[in-house]
Amino acid sequence: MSPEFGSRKARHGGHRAVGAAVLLLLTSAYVSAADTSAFEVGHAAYEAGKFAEASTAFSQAPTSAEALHNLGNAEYRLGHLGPAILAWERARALNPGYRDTVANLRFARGQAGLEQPEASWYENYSAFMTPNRWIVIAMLSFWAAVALLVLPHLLRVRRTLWTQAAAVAAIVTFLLTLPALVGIIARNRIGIVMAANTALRLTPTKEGEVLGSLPEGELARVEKKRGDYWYIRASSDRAGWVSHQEFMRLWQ
Amino acid sequence: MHFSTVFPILRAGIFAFAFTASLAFAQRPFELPGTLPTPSRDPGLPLPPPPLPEPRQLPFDQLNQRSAPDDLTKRGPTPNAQNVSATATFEPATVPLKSFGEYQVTIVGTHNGIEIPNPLPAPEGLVVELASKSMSVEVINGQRRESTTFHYSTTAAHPGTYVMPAFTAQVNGVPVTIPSARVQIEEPNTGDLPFQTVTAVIDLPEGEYYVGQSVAARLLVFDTADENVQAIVNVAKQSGDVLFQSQPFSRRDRVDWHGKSLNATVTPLRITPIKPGETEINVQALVYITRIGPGGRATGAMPQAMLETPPVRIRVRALPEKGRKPGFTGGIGKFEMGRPTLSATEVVVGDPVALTVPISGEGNIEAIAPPPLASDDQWQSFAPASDAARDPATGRGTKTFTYTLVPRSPSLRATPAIPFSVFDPERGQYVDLSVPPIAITVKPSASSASSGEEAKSPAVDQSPEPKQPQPILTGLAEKPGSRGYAVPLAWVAGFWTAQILPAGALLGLWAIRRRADYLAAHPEVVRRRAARLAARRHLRMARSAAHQRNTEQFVRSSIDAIRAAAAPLDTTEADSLVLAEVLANLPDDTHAQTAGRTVRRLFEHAHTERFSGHSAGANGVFDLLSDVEQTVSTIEKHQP
Repeated sequence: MSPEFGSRKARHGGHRAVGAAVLLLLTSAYVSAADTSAFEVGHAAYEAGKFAEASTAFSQAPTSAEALHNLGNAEYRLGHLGPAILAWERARALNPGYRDTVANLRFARGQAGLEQPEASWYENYSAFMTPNRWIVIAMLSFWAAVALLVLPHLLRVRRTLWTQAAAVAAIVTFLLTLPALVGIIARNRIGIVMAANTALRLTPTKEGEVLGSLPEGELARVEKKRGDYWYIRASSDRAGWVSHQEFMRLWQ
Repeated sequence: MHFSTVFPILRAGIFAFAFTASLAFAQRPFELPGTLPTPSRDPGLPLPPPPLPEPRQLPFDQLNQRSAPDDLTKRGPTPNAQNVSATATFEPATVPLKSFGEYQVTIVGTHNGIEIPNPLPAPEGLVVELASKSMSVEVINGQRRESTTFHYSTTAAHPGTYVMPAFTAQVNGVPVTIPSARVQIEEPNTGDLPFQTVTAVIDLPEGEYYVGQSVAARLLVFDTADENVQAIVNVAKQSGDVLFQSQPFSRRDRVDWHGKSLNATVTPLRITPIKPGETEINVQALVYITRIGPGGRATGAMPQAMLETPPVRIRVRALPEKGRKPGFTGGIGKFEMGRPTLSATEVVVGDPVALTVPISGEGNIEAIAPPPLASDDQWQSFAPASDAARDPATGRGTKTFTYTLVPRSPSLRATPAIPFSVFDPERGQYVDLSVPPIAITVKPSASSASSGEEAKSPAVDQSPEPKQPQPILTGLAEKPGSRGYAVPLAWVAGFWTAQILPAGALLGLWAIRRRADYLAAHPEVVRRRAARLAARRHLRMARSAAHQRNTEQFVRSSIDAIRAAAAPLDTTEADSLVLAEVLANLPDDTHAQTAGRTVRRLFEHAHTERFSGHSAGANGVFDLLSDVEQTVSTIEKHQP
């Protein structure tokens, strides 16, 4: 093989890589531009008082805490308390530190006379960061701990102090993520009542006896599922079956 | 006269004088406002004679009901018509025209049950007006004697002799004759002064005034030889772009007015201009007057007069913008600041402390607002309170600003300075009266000390009036933000699939390590594998040589393949095996058969080529390829 040929081949390979990168960038730029456009359309519609259009645009924008926050605002302005609270709760899950969302949730619940939801300590703990961040940290710390414990043996490498310290740190990190993971699993049962005066039924049927009702925007937890019905429990142990159309889970 | 005789008489006389004076003073409420003329006086004009008062209704019922204290009436003897007598006189008997005299009717013997005709049967031209009623008790020769005197103010429009005829009064239902009395009304002498009425003026300090300035002024009502001021009420502003305030009291004083020392009744006023420019101020007041009779005695009547001061023109300027200092809150006057004080010099973070700032002086003390002090990250400040007081005698005022401050940091060493200034109208400039910082020690709170953090806003719960902010719907997020997942990663199947990668990698490493350990413990396995690989390689070369009809290469590769296959059975290196050794390692059942023949033929062919010096030729050696493959396979199968 001549050096000339080799250099030409390398040059051709470099061209292909650059082309692929440019294509990727263009694609991502196009997608990003489209996403930004939907967000901005929603923003402009909201500013113009066209809250229905704003809601549609924000719901079409890529999922982000900001887009969900704005979606909640638009829904609230439309008088849709349930969808608004759901959007804000989802926004808060994606960005627990976004104070505007927390303020809006407090405001909307205060205006509607809804109780502020109670959460267990591990749910609050899990809300310290986004669920995905907890999960990634848990995953990395778990595999890091396993690798640091196993690899020296498999690779016939002598264990050093730093590897052992790193293993301990990884184990501790993983243990610290466990309550958050439990909290995330618990929060997975959370949902929002989407319709006003949602009936709590004795049985998971349309004709089931109505035990009571829940106001729109009320937070409840799913305990069972039967067909198109969920058995949910709200504050003060108000429990009953509701249909899927009347209740939306936080992560659904 | 013995003292024991004189003392009861003296005591009764003092008692009678005091009682008469008290009753005379008590007659004031019986004046009927509005029944007397209330002329408006202009002191700049010649004093006109007073109009003749009109007779008025006599409130006898009220007079009788409030005739005497209970103790006297109870202790007095029961009225007896036979002991009751009456007298009537004019005092003085001769009265100048347009002056006032007094007609007195005295009932001796009782205080109660007296009914005087109303109106009196006065002659035409004589005006008689009830002014007051007095009662007295005399002790003569050990016996009490009560008497009641009705005082009438009299005047006449024409000179002449007027006779009040005798008339009958009723005393406890018994008629008592009041004798007639005579009065002479004469033309005044040429040396007599005309009747002089009281006059009122406003006394304002000299100088220019500023909008908002609180100016101390006085309403002066001067006495004359004919009238004295008894009381001033209902002082009100008639004109002028000013705020007007009158003190509710007056005092009699000697006043220097235009070079004369005059008796006057002084009413303090406070005037606040509200508009720049020139304005005229005049004041109206209702004055109670006592008229002085010819003998220098008060006539007993107390008519009222509505006096109006001549207008006083003042010039009002707006406050200058130039030179205005920070903290000006409308204070105009001469003020000085007292020493600011703190309610505590050592506080804990979050505890409120009161800063008291006193100011005093002459000016619009009531209108001064406390200088604001905004909260910051060091101090939380609440709306300051203020309390003002003014000494009505001197006009000086005192105001106290009270700030409630809450320290937010233990690093604070002093209260914040508070900008404050006032305008001095005499100097015509603003004066800085800023509140200086006051030293204070701030300690960390227990909670912040334990946590190691400073309290951010600790006084929310301790504030006197906590304010709950009203929640609002926040605005929109301006930027789309980073993408996120609608559901957690763990809810995606790909997440768990991806976990196979690290798990598989670790398992692969484990398997590799396990295999390596096994091979290390069993070296024959390694050699067998190496032998098989070598045999395969030589067989491929033999096939290639057969394909190319290369006899030498075919024979050598075939022998090498058989040697490599047979080598593991011995520790000897494969290349060093000779024919006998190869044959010795062949399986017994094939020793004498095909394998042996093939091996011998190949070795013989090789020996011929090597040692005879000429080519052995192909001689059908390529037909042995299948036998060679079979022989290698047979040898491998029979390996342990």
